[in-house]
Amino acid sequence: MQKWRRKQNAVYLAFIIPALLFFCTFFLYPFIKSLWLSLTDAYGYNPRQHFIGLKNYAEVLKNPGFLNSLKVTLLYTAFVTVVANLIALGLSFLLDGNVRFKKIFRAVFFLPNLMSLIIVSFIWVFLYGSVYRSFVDWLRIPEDFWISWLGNRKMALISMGITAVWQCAGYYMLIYIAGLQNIGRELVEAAQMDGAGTWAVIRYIKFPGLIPVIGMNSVLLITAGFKTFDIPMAMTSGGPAGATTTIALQIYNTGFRSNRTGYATAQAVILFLMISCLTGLLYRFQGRGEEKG
Amino acid sequence: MKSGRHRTRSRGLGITVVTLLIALIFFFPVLIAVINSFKTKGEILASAIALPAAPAWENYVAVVAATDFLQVFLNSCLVTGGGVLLNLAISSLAGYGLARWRRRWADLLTLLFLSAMFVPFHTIMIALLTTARNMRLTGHLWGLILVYCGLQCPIPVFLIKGFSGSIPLELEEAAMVDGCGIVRMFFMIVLPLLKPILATTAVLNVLWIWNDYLLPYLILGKPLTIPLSQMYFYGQYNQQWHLIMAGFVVSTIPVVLFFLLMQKYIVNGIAAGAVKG
Amino acid sequence: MKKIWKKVLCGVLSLSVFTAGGLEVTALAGEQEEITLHLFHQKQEAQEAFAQIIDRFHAEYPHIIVEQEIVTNDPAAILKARLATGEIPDIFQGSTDTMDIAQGGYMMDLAGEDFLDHITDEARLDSSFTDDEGHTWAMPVDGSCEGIFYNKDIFARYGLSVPGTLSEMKQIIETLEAEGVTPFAMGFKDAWTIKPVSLVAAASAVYGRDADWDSGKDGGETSFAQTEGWSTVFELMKMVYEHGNTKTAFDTDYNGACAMLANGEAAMMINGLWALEPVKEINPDVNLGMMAMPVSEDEKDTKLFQFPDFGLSISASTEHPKEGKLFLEFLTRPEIAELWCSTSKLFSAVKGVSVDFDPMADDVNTYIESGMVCTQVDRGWPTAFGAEYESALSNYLLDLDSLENIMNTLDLAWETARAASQY
Repeated sequence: MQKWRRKQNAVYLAFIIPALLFFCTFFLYPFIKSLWLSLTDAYGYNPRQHFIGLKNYAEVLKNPGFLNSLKVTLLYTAFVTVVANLIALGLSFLLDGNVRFKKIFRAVFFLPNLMSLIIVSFIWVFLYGSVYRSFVDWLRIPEDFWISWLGNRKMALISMGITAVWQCAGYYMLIYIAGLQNIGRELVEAAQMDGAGTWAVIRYIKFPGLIPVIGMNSVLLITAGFKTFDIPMAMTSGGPAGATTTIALQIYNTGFRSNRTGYATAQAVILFLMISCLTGLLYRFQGRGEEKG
Repeated sequence: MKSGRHRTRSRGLGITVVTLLIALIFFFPVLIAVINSFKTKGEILASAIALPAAPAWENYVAVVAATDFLQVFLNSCLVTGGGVLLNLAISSLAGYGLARWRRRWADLLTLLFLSAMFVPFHTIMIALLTTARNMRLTGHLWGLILVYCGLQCPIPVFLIKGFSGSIPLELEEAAMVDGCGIVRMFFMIVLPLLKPILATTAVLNVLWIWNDYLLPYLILGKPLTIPLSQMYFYGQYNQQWHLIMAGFVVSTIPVVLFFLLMQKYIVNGIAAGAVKG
Repeated sequence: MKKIWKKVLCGVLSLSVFTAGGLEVTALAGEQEEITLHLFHQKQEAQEAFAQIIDRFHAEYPHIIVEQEIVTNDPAAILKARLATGEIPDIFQGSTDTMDIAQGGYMMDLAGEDFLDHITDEARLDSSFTDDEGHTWAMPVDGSCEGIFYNKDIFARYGLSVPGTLSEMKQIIETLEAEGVTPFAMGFKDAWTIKPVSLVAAASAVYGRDADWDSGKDGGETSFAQTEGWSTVFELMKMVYEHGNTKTAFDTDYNGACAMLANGEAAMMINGLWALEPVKEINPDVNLGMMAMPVSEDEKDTKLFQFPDFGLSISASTEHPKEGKLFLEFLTRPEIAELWCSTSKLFSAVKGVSVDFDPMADDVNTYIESGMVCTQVDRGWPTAFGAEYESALSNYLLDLDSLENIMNTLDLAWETARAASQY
């Protein structure tokens, strides 16, 4: 029996090995190498590099460009997390209700999520540019009242956020719908029997039941927000004047435009630390919330 | 009773109208893109919100030819299909192995896989590129497939491990008493049971890989997949929105069809993936 | 069973990869094996010129096919990805990264090749093609310039002439605005179009006065903060920004700005000679001139930023070095150089070739003949400084920082960038 067990364990180990190999080659090793690169002066096309200690990190924390991208990322993430959550919640309540053609509506709201962010970005550049211009021409709105969607520093980040919300709201809506379906139908029906209206049901039963899902969606939205790259790259290239340069774009520019790969990796490691701390904290908060509830 | 039912139905109508309005707003950008893809350059310059005089099918002909769309589409299918299948193969083995392997190592390895979810792609980007280059995996589709296979690992392994744990052990033991080896038992009994979770992870990864831009851009360096080709096309045909929009429609149709066919799995997959991840 | 399945999968995969990758066709053409040279560049305005040249080259060397690939969207990053992935084009434009790329060992040293003798010395020896040790990493193909495009018809309509001094320039702006004409067209949504505005001023205000400013900066003898000319550059850039499509400058892209100039919606636009082709494409009849930016009350300060621009390098690891050199040689033949100039509307770097590709060429030649040109400006800047400089420009335009702070930031950024590329 002992021998059989051992053989069995060997087979299980053999099952794990292929995935482990792939994982180590394309994830673990590059990750460890990144930690090392961030401590070197690695530069663009040159294959050699020297250890320079924490110099890159010291520079990152003083670099106005990086600090700006940090601010941009935080603002953008906050905007998208709040707005996408609200819209996704609203949509899920609508579709959970007494609506006809549920499936079609669900598909329409989810549709943007199927497109690549590159294409989504281009469509919105077109909307903010040509379409908006045609629209104000048609309505004969005087030029002084035109909105500079992507050209104004304050507006550009919001415009980008709107694009992101449009793209992702359907995804989070699906999660909320699943969450709503988990709430017992009996509970809802019992409340309705007691004469509770739609609002009361949402306010006192559905919404409280969704709180853990809201927490989880927020975690997903926040981590996605921190990693935002495609939209600012395709829509604004980070402009005007860095107003939409997210951390991920900043890392990319430092590494592939300015050729400073070591320095860029140090920025990337800081991004990793921030995301892990944040997710860890959020999960802890959420765990505590659930224990209480 | 009668009036009550009547009330529900009319309330259903009201909420349907509200939803319809919101859906129209959501659909507006797509609609604009589709409409403009049928216009000539001059028509778009005149107004981007008017309808075309006659559908300009030649936009589509031009785009399909200029981007070598058929080839690019097949490439995207190959990368997505290859990456997802290969990954499912190794992930289901590993997920099951981790669930059944009764050693402390198994928990440690699971933790290792799990912790990878905290690492953003940008953190490993540069080092991954040099690794792939040293292994001569760059510039080719199959190299990209292997990299994807490795990068996707964490979530499927974790999900499949959780799912495998819920498969009753008696089922496997019964099979083994009948003289079935572990390997055979895995393929005959476990794999069929894993189907739902495999479908879930597959559809999610399909959507991810199909639309991914940065990794193929870095690994391939050539416009071989659909998002890359759209990006190149945009750069080369600046301001020619009629072509850009036609390109967008052509490249979005396949994924919409995929959604319509797989709707059930995608919807369940997102819910399950989120609840467990 | 499993093994067979795996083999089949591998076969299918590799088969489709081969057809997908666009493997070179190695058919026999006559006696010689047919080969394909891959040419990578970012000069959209030269697409037509290259197509014609490639046809003529193919007629002479039927066994060589040249495939051109033009990447305009982020070409530097794409080239970098190519180099990193080992997918190195046989012939490519390293652009401002040329020296960095050469340092990585990706380029063939062309020094001593016979065809380089056809190139003018000042172009060949320019610091962006030949390094201090005499290695020539790229062959200059054309000369270009950056300056102020102006609509001659609009200028004539209001009795304006080319300004020699800054106050004359300000007078012109005032007149145009009084007449309701937008002075400058700007397409700052494409951030790179801001840089020429500053460089055109720097040609006169900084490098026209001290051609060795870079070495002075490296040696610590001078700095952005200490050089008054740099403050002038930033102030002039802001002057341009305030007198044009200011409100929509950051909503408009490069093509949009070109269209404004082409359609007479603005009287001037600051950019490189390469903008001529797109502008003429929109409106072939627009009557344009090119002028330098006055920076002071001394006419002698007003110099045009003129430089050898486009260069081609051969990959160090190309399988067809001989054929690659044949193509470069072909480009230096006078009749080909003339074809190049007239089609892509640029100056040639080949000796003795001068083409009146456009009436505007006369304007530039006048500056060259009178020696009122400056060839330096950003040519010798460290790569990593470029991004910092560009962000400083837009930061200043949008009042995000004081000029004093910006100068200090630039000084620091320069030193960091220089240190990063040398170890």
